[in-house]
Amino acid sequence: MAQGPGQHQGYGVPASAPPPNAPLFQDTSGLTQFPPPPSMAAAQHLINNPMVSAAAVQYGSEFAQQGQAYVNKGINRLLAITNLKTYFAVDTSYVLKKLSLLLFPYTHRNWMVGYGESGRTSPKDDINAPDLYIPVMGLVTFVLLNGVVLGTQSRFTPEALGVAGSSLLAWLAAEVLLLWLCLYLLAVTSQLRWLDIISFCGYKYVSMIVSVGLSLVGGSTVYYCALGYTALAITYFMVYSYLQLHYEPNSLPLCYRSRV
Amino acid sequence: MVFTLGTLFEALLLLVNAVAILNEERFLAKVGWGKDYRNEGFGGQSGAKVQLVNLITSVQTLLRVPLVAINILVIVYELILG
Repeated sequence: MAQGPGQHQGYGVPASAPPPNAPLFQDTSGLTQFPPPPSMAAAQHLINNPMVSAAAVQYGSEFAQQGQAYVNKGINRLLAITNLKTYFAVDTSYVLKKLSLLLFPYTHRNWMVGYGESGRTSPKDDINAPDLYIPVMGLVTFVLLNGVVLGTQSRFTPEALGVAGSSLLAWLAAEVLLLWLCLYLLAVTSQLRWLDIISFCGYKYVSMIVSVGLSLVGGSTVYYCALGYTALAITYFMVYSYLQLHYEPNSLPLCYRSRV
Repeated sequence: MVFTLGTLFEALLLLVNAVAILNEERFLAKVGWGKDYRNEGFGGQSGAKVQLVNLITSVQTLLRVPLVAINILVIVYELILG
């Protein structure tokens, strides 16, 4: 039956009416096969049906959500955004315990970093978990302490703060790269990521702050004593933190294992 | 001289250049650090030397062309800005 274009307005569908001269029915007089192959008119008839269009919109939005999730996963893998939150999830008791551990690590027994069901346990629950709060605070505090020391020697200029900051960052970058290179060359397979290495290398700012701070009070002999003591303490801390990489329970912990 | 990120970058660039120009057949193979190191020695050996040889080989294959570009940029920078 021939139908006018106004017929489809009755469904209340907005302006996606078919073009006025398109055939609205299939002329099957010349066809030899049954059922007749679908044509554009049938497809447009289908799209104008509101139930079908709603289903199509939902289907398309599912695809969009999947694509979005895929992009998010890629970005998260590149930037470790979701991981970064666990490194800053600290509380006061963790910070105090960690600082005392950095200055006196000799009585600590269990150095293993815990892993929960969703990756690493947060620093609030596990004192061995590396965090980024202490290194960041240590960096800023050390730069300011540099300024204070320069001020006591009447050498302070504001540019000196910037120079000290960028110099600290450069040394941190050099140390992280060197440590990563050593870990790679020794073929240490571990769960340590870049942020963990940055975190471990940033703990030394605590010992630097203690040494320089004590030198403000006591002079150069106190400075060298404090430097020696804190250097030994932080070395002990680092060695035992990295030793747990090679340690597997039920095996000899301290022998070199060659991979076959 | 103050150790800044710029000096770190220059030092890294020079070191990577040094690794990239180690000649495979004239030097590394003679010392026993060539690409075919594993075939000559006993198999199953692992450790620092294998990783180091792999690192040198991969730096040479992957980074030679980008290093040329970065070197050109740094040379132009040093020429223009001293």
